[in-house]
Amino acid sequence: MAINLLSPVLLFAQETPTTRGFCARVDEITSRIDQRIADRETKLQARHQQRLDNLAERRSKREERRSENRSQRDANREEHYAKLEAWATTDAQKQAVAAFKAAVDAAISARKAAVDAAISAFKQDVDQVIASRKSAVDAAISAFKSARTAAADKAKTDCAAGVDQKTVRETFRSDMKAAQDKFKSDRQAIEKLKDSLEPVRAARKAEAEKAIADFKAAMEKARADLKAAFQQ
Amino acid sequence: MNNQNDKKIEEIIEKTLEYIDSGKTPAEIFDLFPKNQETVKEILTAVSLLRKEGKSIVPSRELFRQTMDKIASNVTNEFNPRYHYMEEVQGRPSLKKINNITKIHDLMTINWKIWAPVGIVAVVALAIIGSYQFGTKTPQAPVTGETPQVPVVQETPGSPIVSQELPLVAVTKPATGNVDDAVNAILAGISDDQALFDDAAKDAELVAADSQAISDFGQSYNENEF
Repeated sequence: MAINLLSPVLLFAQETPTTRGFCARVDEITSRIDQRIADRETKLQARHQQRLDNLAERRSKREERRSENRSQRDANREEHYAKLEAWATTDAQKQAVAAFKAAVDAAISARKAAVDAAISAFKQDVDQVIASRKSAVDAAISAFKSARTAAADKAKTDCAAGVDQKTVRETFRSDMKAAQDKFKSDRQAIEKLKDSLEPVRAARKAEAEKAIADFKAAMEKARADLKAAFQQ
Repeated sequence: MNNQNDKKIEEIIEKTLEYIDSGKTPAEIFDLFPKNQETVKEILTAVSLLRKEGKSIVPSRELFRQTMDKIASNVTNEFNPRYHYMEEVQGRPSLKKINNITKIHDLMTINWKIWAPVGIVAVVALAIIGSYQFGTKTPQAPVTGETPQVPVVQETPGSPIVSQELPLVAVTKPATGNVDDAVNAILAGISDDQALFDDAAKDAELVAADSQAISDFGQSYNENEF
């Protein structure tokens, strides 16, 4: 009789409130984690899509501006050519203007081609880093999810085998913590991927600057030649 | 004869003083002594002078000491009535005065000890603040005609990434037929290409646009929850 009365008390004495019922709650716990994983993965994918959309929009606008500006410059340049031709009275001067036009057009074409090539190359570099980053993120997520599955499976197996619930719970916590730390480590490596873009950007910028410097030099030569022709 | 005369003068003085104390005017007193008006006049003059200048008359120190010695203590109920006139006496400063001066001196010394370091600290603090103020570059408004800044890619966590438009930078110069004007107008096209490249370089910032979302994913498991 006395033993029957004391049996609930003895049960409470064996398990703390926190560990009590862990095996019964494993599914609930893992389900909650899975829900969070799914929600955050969805947000991450939305973010990736936003990034792609934004990038495409920026490139489209940039292309649009480039086209508008160059058309404007071309039209303006034609006006300058026309005025210069109007001032050219002698054959020598007319030939000099023609030579000036040819030199300028060639220099502009070279500059545009070089700058466009640098921009295009950098665009590919950015796309490549983004793709690498996405792959790395996907791999990190996959590893985390696998670790979660393994931790839950082990907890369930241990529960079924009658392992102490406190031990099961601590093992589960430990496994999940390890998975979380691994993801953190992966994330730090992912963040470093973008650093690889900086030297690439500097190289592309140098290419564009060289094209601009070459263009300036060509323009100064064209100026000097034309001035010399008009002074004769 | 002289004694009688002196007695008579004493009586006149006594009477005159009594009349003065009783409140009679000098004219009324004159009328009461028709035969001795000259003497009464001198008495009234003397009384008037004593009343007027009496407070200014200070006895010599020796006389004062002898007088005080003759007066028994507690003559009146007033507290130290003999010192009532002392504010009129100019002499050596009392010990009380000396103590007060010492106190003031001590107070000033203490104040100086407190305020001197406080003042030095305040001056140093002002100097440091001043140097920071003058050392900080004042933000300046952009100068008109400067090359337009390349737009910045803005990312607000939880909201769509905002893309700012690349500004229209093609500002052309009218044709004049002058060689320099033509060349300079063509050279101005350089700024377009530079702006294009800079804008393209800003695309790199989008690479890390998912950083916060990745970090949030890592928090899917909260070890303190279970």
